[in-house]
Amino acid sequence: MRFTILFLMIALVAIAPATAQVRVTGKVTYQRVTPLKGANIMVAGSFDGATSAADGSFSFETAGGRSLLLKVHADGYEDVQVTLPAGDSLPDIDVVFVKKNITLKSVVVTSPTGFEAADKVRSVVMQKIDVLTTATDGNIISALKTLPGAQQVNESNGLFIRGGSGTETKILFDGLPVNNFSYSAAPNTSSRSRFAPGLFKGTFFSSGGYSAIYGGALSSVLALESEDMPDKSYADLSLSPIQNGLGFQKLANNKKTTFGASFNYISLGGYYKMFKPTPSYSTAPEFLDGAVNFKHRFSNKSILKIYTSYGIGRVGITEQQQGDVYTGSNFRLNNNNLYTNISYRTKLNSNWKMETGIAINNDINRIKIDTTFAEQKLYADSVRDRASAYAVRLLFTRYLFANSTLNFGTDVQFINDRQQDGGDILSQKDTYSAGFAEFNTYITDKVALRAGLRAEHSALMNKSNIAPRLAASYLLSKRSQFSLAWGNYYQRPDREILINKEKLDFTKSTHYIATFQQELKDHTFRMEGYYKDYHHLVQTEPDTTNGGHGYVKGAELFWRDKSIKNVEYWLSYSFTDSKRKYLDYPVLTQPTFVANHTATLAVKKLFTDVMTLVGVSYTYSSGRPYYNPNRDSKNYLSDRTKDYHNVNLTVSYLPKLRRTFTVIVFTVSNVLGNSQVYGYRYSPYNNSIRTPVISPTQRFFFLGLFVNLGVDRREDIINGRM
Amino acid sequence: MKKLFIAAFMLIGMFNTTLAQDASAYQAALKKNIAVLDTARKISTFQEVANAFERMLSVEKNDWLLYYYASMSLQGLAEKQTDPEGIDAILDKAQTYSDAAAALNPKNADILCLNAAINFSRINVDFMARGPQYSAKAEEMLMAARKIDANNPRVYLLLGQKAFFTPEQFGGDKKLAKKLLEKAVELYAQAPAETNNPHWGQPLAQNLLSNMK
Repeated sequence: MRFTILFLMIALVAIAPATAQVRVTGKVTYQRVTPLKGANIMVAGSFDGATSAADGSFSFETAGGRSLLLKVHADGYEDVQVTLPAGDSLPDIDVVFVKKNITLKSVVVTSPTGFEAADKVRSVVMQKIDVLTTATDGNIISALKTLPGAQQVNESNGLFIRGGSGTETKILFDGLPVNNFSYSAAPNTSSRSRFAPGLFKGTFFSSGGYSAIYGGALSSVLALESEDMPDKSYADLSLSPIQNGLGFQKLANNKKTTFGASFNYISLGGYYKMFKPTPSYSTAPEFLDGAVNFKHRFSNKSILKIYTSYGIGRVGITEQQQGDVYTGSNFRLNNNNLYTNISYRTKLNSNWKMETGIAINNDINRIKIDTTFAEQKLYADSVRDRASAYAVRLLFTRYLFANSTLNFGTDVQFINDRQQDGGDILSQKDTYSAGFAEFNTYITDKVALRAGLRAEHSALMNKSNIAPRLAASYLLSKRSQFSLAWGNYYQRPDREILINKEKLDFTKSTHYIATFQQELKDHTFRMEGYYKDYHHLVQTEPDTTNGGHGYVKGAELFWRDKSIKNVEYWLSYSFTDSKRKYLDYPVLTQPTFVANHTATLAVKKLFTDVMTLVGVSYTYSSGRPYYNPNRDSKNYLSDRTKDYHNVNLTVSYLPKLRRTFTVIVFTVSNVLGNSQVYGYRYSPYNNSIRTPVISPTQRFFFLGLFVNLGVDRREDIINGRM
Repeated sequence: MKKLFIAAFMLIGMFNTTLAQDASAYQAALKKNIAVLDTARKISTFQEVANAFERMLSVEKNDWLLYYYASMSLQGLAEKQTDPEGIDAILDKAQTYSDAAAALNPKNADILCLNAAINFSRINVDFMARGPQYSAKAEEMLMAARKIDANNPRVYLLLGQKAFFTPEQFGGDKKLAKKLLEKAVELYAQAPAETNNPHWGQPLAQNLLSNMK
């Protein structure tokens, strides 16, 4: 027995570590070429190890007399293991990383040709603050007009992108359509957006080649993502001669539920008394809106958001055709608009994500037009136009092997429009349904690929289409990439045409886009060339058919620089060459909404000592075609308006008012008072008489005070206690 | 039989000593690395010490302090970055470690302070776009920390820093900053002698305060 114990003790003592230290040295590289700095060299099962130096070298001591397993980690690369035999002295070790770990954002395939603005992306192109400091009217659409691809069409609502008309850009709110993003406007004028830029945290603006998740837009998609949870409760207030608003947002103590309401009243009556508009307004634009929202975050991080707004608006214009004693008209419009958006997003498990939602669009315009002839009332026209649509969306995301994802889902819209013109009633009821699937994958660590397919059906037209889309990005260096995109895009004909019950098909365009993009620390550079052809465009002459066609080709440049302290500027230039034979165009010609050259320079400077942000933007656009009835059909739309020059100024001053976030904004559009003509309207009775289409006032001034009060007074509490 | 017992005891005893040796080696390594972090100035030092804590984490996975210090080191590393591009990736990792620490030690004021510091660091990526949002988040965490431990000097140091560096238009307040920092310095003076527990910030608080005068 005694021997056994003794033996055991000896054995244990022998096991106890009494070995000498051994030095481990080596070098960490990527592909034996690039030394890697900061890699963590770990000896499995011990605290020993080292960090590689700038030249990739490392050196440390650890207990010897055993074989060693080195685990080496470098951010952005797949881990490497090296086994070392037991020995008193070890040779230099080469630690070679061969694979980059692509979970750490490398190639951005989600938007090969889009501008993505999310919090995570640093050099975003358009952020909330940009909207507020670029647009003189705090309107997202106006701010986006400073980006490449956008046309300077100010006589109509909507975003005119590349060769596309305003209805060919679709606006989405949490993936669901917004059909009346801007207030209703009188003919030949445009109106502001119903939605405050503060509602949205992210702006994804694609000028073409976009994903199969989106559809129903020939040109472009503007996807706005609403804010999740606010950081704290607040109330806000806006005061100005034009716009007054009041709102609050309450965040529950558990931070899981929030609700809020806001009211907004816009009236241009006072302004138009001071600055006479052309044409004259019998009723100056006036809008009253109320919105409520509710958001709830569930314990599994799912989020439910409900937003609903109701607004009424009116505008009236009295026009006398210039130089024409005979004709005049009085146009009056009353609008009611209801918009509701309910969305829910959840992670089903670690591999599945789901997004779903419902949107309700209900817009009613009541229009009265009195036409006079030789001061006699000629005829009165009364139209009640209702556009209503219910949209439902379901999107699944499945995370697959090697950072691939599969998105698939469905989009359904129930459209029910009714137009009553005197005794005539026109209506369209359509069910638009779409299914889509899209696969995103990385072929190597430098090449990303997106392949998608979208199928759409319209019950009204009884037509279907299948639209394949492909995009690939190649990473040239860490911060520059080259992308190619191709795809087919379909859109239902405009409602004004469909409502006339014509037998029609989807209009179609095919996009081919090549993009180079470089995003360095303090600048973004982007260069894009594209070609799009249009098929099955709607023609209204001689008969309404899908016989129209056209093309657009162009090149765009974008440069944004942040290298100068407190100064930021961007420059965008677009060359657009487009022709269409559609609607009543007798020949293939450049449409009225396309200018060949468009450029914008936007500069912002923050004066920190007086806390004032000054933004100046200059936009140039070459002349656009306009209709001249004196031309024969061969020379249809051959006239051009004069070049467009516009300088905007915004000054935002942040005064020192404790406990509030206050901004005083002063903006002037068309500071230099350049004469801006968007086209001409000819007298229907005399071709030698015409009236230019211009903005209602040459310049537009805005002065407003915006106050945000954080409702909870936590800092007061600290103050009081100390 | 009796001898067998003795043998068994001896065995257990020996086993215990090796465990104790491991534990003291662990404490020594922890102490050494904390000292490195306390005096770190250079970007490479922050990287090295973050790596050292990560190596310790590959062996010891149940000490919240280790996650806490790994996260602190990464937060320090993020503060030293000159290129905003890499900041978020580092802070995401720091947040993961901080969450792991909180899972082991819920409702700890120092972990909340660390979270606040991580959020402050995120502002460096884009001051104009991120300032209001992340500073509100950080402030919220500090208020929660203060609820748990009203005598934690780091709560007042971070609140003071926030009040000092935030422009007045966004709610900054130099007078309040001074009060908060004075309170922090006062609490640091009363703090128990240094251990491995969170103790950073005293020189920083004093420096800020003396620069104000």
